[in-house]
Amino acid sequence: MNKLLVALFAVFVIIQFIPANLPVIVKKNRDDLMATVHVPDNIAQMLKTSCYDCHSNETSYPWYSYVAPVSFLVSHDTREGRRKLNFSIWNNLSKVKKAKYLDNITEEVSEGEMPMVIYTYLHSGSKLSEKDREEIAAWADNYAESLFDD
Amino acid sequence: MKKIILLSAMLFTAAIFISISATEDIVNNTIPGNEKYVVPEKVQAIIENKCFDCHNSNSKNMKGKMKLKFDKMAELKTHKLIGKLDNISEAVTEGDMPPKKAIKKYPDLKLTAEEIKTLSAWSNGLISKIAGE
Repeated sequence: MNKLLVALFAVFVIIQFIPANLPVIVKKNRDDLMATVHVPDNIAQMLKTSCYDCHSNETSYPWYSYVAPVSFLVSHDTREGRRKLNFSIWNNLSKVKKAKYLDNITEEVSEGEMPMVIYTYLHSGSKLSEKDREEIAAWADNYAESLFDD
Repeated sequence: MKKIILLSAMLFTAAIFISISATEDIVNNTIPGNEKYVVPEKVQAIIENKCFDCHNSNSKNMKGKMKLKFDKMAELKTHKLIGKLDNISEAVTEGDMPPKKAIKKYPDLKLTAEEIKTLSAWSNGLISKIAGE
């Protein structure tokens, strides 16, 4: 039993030396959604608290995200999140891409797929209520529609 | 009395035919007033064989149904239609769709390189036509 504990601890120590490559934090992004488009305050607040950690370059990493093996998970999820949708480069996207992302936001948020459960569990205040979800979905849909006023 | 029975039998038969032709037309939407959403036969065949089982409004696959319903595409507003089409193009090009799990179970679902090209060319073409971009 003692040996097992020692072995586990050794593994824990060793994996600390494997680089997790957490995606780099960039605080100021001039092409960010909030910097280039008027987003209503309540929506902006919710996006910042519930989405921006993974879906922007402004990630703030809690202390435990530097500790392996949690660091591997955080690194993977943040990288994937930014790849799927990155609010920090919003202004560089074409109208078509914006429409796609806004459609995805509407669906994922209103169906409760996003934010991920593991995220809301660990980040107090990031959980979205039914009303929050409706508001975000309505904002995304209206914004997308306004891009194609014809 | 006999005439009434005969008449209702005829009506009944007609109703069946109408509902059958309606179901056949689920992918190739020709809803009056919406001329934006055009599906060529070649594309329709791919969709019917490889996508429609999950992506329709009666699908038992909740996630598939939520994201995309091919029988409702023509009813979408411009911005929604563009969003869906761009998602289709991305999903097939990057090999995210059909899902790997589904292909493992039903290998026939896998899209050929040719089919991927056809689908993405169709959705991108439609997007540029609709969005003018």
